[in-house]
Amino acid sequence: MSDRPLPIVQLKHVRKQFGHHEVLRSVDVNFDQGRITALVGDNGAGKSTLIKIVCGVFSPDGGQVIFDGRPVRWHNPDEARRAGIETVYQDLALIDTLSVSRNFFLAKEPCRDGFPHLLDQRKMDDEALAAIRDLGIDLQDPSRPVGTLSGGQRKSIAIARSLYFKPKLLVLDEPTAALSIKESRIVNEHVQAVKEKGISVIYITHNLYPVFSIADRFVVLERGEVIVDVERTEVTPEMLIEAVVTGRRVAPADVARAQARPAESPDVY
Amino acid sequence: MSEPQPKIDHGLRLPWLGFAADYLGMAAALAALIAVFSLGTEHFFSATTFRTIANQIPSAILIATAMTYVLIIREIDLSVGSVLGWCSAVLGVAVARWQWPVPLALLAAAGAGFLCGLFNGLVTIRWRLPSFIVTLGMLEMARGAAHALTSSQTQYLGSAVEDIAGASIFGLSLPFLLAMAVVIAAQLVLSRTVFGRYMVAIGTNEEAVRLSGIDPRPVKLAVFTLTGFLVAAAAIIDTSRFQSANPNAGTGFELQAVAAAVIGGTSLMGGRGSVVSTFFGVLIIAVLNSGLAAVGARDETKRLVTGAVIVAAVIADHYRHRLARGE
Repeated sequence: MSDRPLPIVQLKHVRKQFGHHEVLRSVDVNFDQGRITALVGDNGAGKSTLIKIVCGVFSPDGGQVIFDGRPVRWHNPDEARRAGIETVYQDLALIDTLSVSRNFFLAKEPCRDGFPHLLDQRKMDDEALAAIRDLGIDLQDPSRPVGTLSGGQRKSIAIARSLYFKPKLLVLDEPTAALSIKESRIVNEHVQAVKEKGISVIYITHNLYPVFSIADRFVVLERGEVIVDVERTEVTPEMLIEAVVTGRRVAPADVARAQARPAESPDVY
Repeated sequence: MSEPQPKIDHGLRLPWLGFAADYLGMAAALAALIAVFSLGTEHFFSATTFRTIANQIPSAILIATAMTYVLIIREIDLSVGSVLGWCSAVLGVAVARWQWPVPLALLAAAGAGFLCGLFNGLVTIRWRLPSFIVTLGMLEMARGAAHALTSSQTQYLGSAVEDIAGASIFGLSLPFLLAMAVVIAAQLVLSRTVFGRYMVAIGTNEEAVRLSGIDPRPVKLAVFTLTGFLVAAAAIIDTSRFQSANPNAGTGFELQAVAAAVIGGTSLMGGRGSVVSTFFGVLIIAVLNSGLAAVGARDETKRLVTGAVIVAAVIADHYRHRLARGE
């Protein structure tokens, strides 16, 4: 579509295999700037591998990754982070035994000047708390170990941490997995707040319902191939579920039927 | 969105209170042990007893400090005792047989420990092997090397190295004061530096650390290498104290170091531990051994009691942490 925003990430013929198992087979997809793109697929579809290539955990075996208009080849996640890609992984990448503020600054710790080069704990506490509250999360004590927080609080804090470093792209890997309906709703509100700040979002999930009401575009991955790449107005949740379950592409007739339905999709969880 | 909240008031935070609370239990256990032995025998509670204990434990403190670091990153080093024997053998042979100047011999001993630690770290990291197996191999290799180098004979050094352990300030040996300085520095590094936080993070969730963009390998390599270096320092201290290098020196030290760390609340599962608490663990074991000797306990009784104390400490720590988590 000609009125699509410029892509923040473009993948061109990206391939990846582990041993003899080909996990990604020539994937071509664009993720739009300033929008929420849901990357959907069943377990084993290749979603996590694709995202780990975008985030610098894996290198592709073939093809090209273009980020913010220039070809990139990350050697590690730190390079991707420095370029402006923050990721909230499914297992959160939070350290249970460390405090909220120390998790917040993990890998980017502020230190005091001079010798010995000690951590600036006060700065970490103040800035972590301010950023967390900025996202509307109620937290009193930033020195609390992350392991003592609820699943929803942990995900919210992981998102707040990602935002603090002013990313261009936020990647969320199954952000509502194992959360209650109420917690999922709160996390999705945070994701919408992220989009309103102009940050591009890739939202990975195998469960369509939590994401359907907030995503602008849907990409369905099936056995390492993109089988659906559509605007939200072009599909219904049922069509996407069918694509995920059967591996069948969305037909033009289905798109026309979806476009005829009311503009506002229901808030489905 | 929630209401704006007041900023945290750092003036109300009492870090020293938290610090004291962390170590109060350990200090109380130590005081109770001292009280029991002081009541049990009239000669125990004296400056001489405490000075003797303090001068006996510097090598144990250094090794237990290193072991705490290794356990925090969710690894283990079973070779510390044998590497101590190997470093001691290098020092002994260099001075007694090869007639090297003492500073050069000390450097050789330090280098021997450093290389063993580096080897343990490199092999564990490069081939992603369990450190339990790698250091078990080093345990045999280092002990074998110590025996080969010394032809299984104790090297007597006489007065050549006695100054190291002999020097004292206010009756406390230089090695003890040095060991105390290492404990303080190691605790500071653990709790107040980026390196220390990475150690805890790696021990808790290494994959999460990697995904955050941190390469855990240099941190792990540094910990193993530092361990080798601290073990070499312990070997120098013990060789100086006994004025001899025994190829069997350090036998069983690895388990004593693990015991001290565990008594101090260090988790064998990684991600949790404190050097100061380990120091208390070393003190508790040392007081227990001295106290039992003072009341005339036989060696088998000492081992029985020490073992029971280790198990009791782990059970107490389990409940302490459940309480802290509000379970």
